[in-house]
Amino acid sequence: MPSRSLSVSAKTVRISVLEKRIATLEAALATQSQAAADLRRSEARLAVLADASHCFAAASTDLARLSRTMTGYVAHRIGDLCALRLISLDGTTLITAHTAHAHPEAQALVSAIDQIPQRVDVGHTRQVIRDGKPLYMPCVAQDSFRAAVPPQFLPYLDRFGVDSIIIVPLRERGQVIGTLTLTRNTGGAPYTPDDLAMLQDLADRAALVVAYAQLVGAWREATRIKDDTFALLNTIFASIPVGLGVLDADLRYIRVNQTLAAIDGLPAIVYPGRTPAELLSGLASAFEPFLRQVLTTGNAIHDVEIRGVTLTNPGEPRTWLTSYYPVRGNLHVVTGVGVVMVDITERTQAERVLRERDEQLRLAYDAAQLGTWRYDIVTGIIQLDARAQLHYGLKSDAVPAARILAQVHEDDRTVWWQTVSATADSGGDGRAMAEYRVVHPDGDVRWIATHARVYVADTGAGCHPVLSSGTSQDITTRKQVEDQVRAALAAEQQARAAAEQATLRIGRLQTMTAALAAALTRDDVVRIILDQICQATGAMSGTLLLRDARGDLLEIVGQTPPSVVQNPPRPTPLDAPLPSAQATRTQTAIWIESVAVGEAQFPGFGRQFNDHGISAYAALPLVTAGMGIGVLSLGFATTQTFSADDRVLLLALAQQCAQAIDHARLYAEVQEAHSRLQYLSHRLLETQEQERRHLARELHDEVGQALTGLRLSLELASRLQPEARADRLAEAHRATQDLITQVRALSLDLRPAMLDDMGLLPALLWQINRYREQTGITVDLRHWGLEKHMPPTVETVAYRVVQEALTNIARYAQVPTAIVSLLASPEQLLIQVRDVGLGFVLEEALSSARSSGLTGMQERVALLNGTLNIETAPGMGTCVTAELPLDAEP
Amino acid sequence: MITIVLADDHPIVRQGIRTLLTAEPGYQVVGESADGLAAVRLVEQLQPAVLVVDLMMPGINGLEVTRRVCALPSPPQVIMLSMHADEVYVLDALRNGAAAYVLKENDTAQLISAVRAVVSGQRYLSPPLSERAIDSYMRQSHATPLDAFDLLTMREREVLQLVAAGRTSPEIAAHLNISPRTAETHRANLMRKLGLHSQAELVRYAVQRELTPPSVD
Repeated sequence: MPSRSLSVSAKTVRISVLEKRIATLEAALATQSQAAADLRRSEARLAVLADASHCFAAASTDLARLSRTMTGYVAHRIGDLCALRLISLDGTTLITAHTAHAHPEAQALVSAIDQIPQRVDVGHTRQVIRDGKPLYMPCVAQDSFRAAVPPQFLPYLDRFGVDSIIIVPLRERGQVIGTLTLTRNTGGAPYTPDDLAMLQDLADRAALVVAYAQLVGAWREATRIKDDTFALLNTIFASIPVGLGVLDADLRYIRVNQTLAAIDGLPAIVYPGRTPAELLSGLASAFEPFLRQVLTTGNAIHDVEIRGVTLTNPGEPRTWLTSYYPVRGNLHVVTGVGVVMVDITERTQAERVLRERDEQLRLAYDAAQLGTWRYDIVTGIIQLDARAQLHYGLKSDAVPAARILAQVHEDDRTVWWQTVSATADSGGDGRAMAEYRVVHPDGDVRWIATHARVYVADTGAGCHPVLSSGTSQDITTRKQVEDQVRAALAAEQQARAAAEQATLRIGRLQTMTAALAAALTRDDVVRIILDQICQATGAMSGTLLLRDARGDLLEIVGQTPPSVVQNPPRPTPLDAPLPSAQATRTQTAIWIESVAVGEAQFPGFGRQFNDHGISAYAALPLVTAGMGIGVLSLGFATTQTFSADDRVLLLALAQQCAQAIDHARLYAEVQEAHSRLQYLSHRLLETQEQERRHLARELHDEVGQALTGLRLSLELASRLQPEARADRLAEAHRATQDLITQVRALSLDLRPAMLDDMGLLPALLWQINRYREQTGITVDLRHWGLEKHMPPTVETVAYRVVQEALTNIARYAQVPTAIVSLLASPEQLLIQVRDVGLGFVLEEALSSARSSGLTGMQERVALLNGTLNIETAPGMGTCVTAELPLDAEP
Repeated sequence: MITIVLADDHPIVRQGIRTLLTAEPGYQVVGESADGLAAVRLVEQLQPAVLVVDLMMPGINGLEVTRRVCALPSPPQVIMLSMHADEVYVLDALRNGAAAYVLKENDTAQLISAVRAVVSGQRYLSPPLSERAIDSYMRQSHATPLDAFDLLTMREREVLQLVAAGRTSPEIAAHLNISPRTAETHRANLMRKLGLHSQAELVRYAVQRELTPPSVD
């Protein structure tokens, strides 16, 4: 069955071929529909471009109209905003030609924004102009977009928003001449790449039109200028009182002016096309050779005198001064000759005119207070007129040059010589001017300005200056005014700089004040002061000194820059003759403007300035609540003036520092009080627990035991015969008696009822008796004024103070006697407990087990606003004194 | 017949005492009271020969009751019952007009002795109380001549002497090797303690006390 198998295989092949064709066809169809879509889009784009081109053509070369038309067209066809911006001729500014908006309400806003020129190096247009490539942001990232938008567009952005943007460059011969911006409001669809392509097409076309319009504008301007120039030349040509004529290369007249025609005695219209020989038989031969020479050489010929007769003066020859100039056409080829003729027959008259002018010049000199001089370089003699003599302080009309030099201020002699040399230099332009000072014989110094001109003579062996002459002028007043103006300007600049400096400093002060206000602890405050003081005040170094706890030493708590001195800084005694100590003492700032002032006010102190590299110094007292708590001293690298403003500023700063330090102190005190309170609360609980433990043990061990014994005795008695009970009952009676004593002692130890019932004195007497019984120490009680009743709190504290002091004596003093004294006055209760025993080191005691008793005393006294004083030393006995105020309840 | 009024806030104690007293021939308890004010009214009303009153009572205590009844036109003899053996209470009770002071803790038979003593016009004190101990206490409780100078600290005395010698605070500070501020504090303290208000008063005080200026050089 090979054929069948072949046939099947052939069929398979055919089907597969078919499938391939279908696939190809489908692909082709897809491509075709794609192509059709592309075509439609292209056609739409072409239609737009065609419309645009039509519009552009209609706008022609009118740039303003073109801008309106094009942006309006794009704004309405593509939407929403279209702006055409052109770069100014100097390349710095972007000028909006027109912005159109599809919505009328937006149009007014954008037209207003158009009035504001924009620099080329800002905004989103910047990169478009720089790179010559479009900016295409179909979906605008609002925040970053907004950040780059120049401020004048923000109102628009806030009101209408931009969701999509295209900016394309306007390119003309490889150069960006402007931009075309298209944006879509919030809510619009993103622009497509087609929109981008189309806009770029439009921009390219627009660029051409704009360039053309600009060119046309430029041409029109050039044409106008040319026309104006022609008109002007024509006017001059016609009206100038000099004969002018132009001839072509064949030496035929092209044109002459009325003056020339008048010289010749002919009407001007007969000249064109004719030669001089045809018109002026007599005179032509005199100047024709010069015309030919100019034509041949191309060089002008000046001031040639010719003489002859014309129709105007047939019998009377006249003289003319003539000049001949080549007339050049394109490519610089000489295409003709111009003739200038001036009648100089009236030379005498001209000389008279000259004399008049000389006189006028003299008048002008006089009016300008000008002196004149002549310097004969050959003889070295200078001649001066009367005013020049005044200017130089001389009384001679002819002096050697050296005599003049002697009058010139020695600092300005170089200037004078340079001027003289310049005038004598034949290579120069022969003119020179100089300003220098002259010292008159009476010592008066005047500023003189001279203008000089040098005259050169050709001696055959070359040109040499032979004579210079010029004017002199007294410009002292002008100089003075100039100096004043310069000084005023400098002062103004200085003031401005000072103001800027002050503003800067106030800013730093504010920073520092804010930081200080936020600081809580003294360490923070000190750190902030040291960190910022130099920057805030312009000082080079700063030192903060505060009074120590006792108040009679100033301790350095910080320095900036940190001290490099190895030894720790020594405290300054408050009465030291130093600015820091004095400022703290008197609460008055000390200002030391310079080393000399410092040395004068504080001998020995100013000299240290050099060691620290400072030139000025200020000690600012830190004062709070009328108390000088320290001083802030500042060193300055340069000599200072410390103006009133400076002082106010620095004092205010010191005030801030003082307050911050005081606040930090208060804060620390509050913290301290807080932790003390916590400590006391803790101790109260502890003491309470201890007392309870003690009480519980007493009740259980002593009272409980006794009661148990009592019960046993009574039980035993009840079981005995009546006659045998008596002994047992007596025993029980004794036990009861003991019990009563025990309970009473316990209760009295806790708090004697007597203190409440009978007052302080009986309670103390009881306490002292009991103390003697328990310890064997005799107490000498002395008292005065205790009969009256005092507030219970005072009596309790007094009782406890005596109790605690006596307990301490019993424990540590090892003495047989103690003295207790109490003295009550209307204002206070004084308590003193004294012994002549061993004594102790107070600081050690306060940190040992004994401290709780001492601290307890202190606390109780302090609660009543009293004071407690403990005087003791090893071997010196102990004296505890308490003062309790009576007139004021705590 | 001896009429007696009993004042004690403890019923058991009252009952015990009544039993004890009525067992004696010729004694009659005519009234009882549990607080001080009622006791005073009862005495006023019944005019007994003897009032037995407890020192510790609610309302007004036995001492106050004694003072009030002793101010009546015909006062009873007052016997004070007390837990307190301290002379101060005894003294106060006697001062207020009590004729006897009997300690509760002692043998109750003492109460009978006390009644017998007071009706015959004598004072009675329970042993171990004695007139001598009370005298001694009275002596002790008398104010002793004491002046504020004794209560100055040693440092304050030194400062006082130097001030009296006309030294300024800085000088005193230098001499005592303390800070001027501390010297100033001592000076203010001692003036306050002595009740002095000016430098002049201070000097006058020093002169009166014959505080000879010590050599300070």
